[in-house]
Amino acid sequence: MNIQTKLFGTLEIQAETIIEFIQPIYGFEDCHRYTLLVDEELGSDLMWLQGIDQPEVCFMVANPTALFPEVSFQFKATETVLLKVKDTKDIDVLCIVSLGEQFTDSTVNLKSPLLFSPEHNLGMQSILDQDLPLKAKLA
Amino acid sequence: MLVLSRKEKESILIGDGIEIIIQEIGKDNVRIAIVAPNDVKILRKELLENVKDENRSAQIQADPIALKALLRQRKNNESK
Repeated sequence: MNIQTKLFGTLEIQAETIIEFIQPIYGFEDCHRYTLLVDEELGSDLMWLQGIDQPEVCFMVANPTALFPEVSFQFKATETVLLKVKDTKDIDVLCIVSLGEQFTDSTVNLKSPLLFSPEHNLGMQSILDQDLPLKAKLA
Repeated sequence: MLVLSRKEKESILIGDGIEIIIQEIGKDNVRIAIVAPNDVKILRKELLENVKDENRSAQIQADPIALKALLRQRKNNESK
């Protein structure tokens, strides 16, 4: 299927790459479906999360395991239930990046990561009880 | 809106599975215990507002040209 994107015009994507957010990203309640776009320019630890219901909605997302190896996220039972996974090990995590004026000013939201169930193509934004920063320095 | 008065250790039931217990009443705050099913989200409201603001400010606004320039900075930083 073809989708409109914020940065790359019209793109063709496979239906199975569509992620249904069972709870929309907070503040973006009208956008339920997203797809992840890999971009050579970003390398392997950063990607784009493109809204399908609202093409103007697009986030840069980061792989926290690679960029913040010291952080270990503790998920709640609620999250495994909502994402329909048996174990928290089956949850993939990405964090929203907030780009700064300079790239080195950019920050990563570790407090409320995006959780995914790759098996069911489901996603949600969590707000963790852990004491983690909303704005962790990316660089 | 329903407003109820409760004393310490008293509780309120909401629906079939939610109980809100007033554990302790302090001078400036109240300690509350919540019993709820696994699929019920419980959040501090001000934290939710902070997350919304953070999400809104993270939404990509830059035009592709400015964004490319920003990403080039990253490449330059990495190659240093």
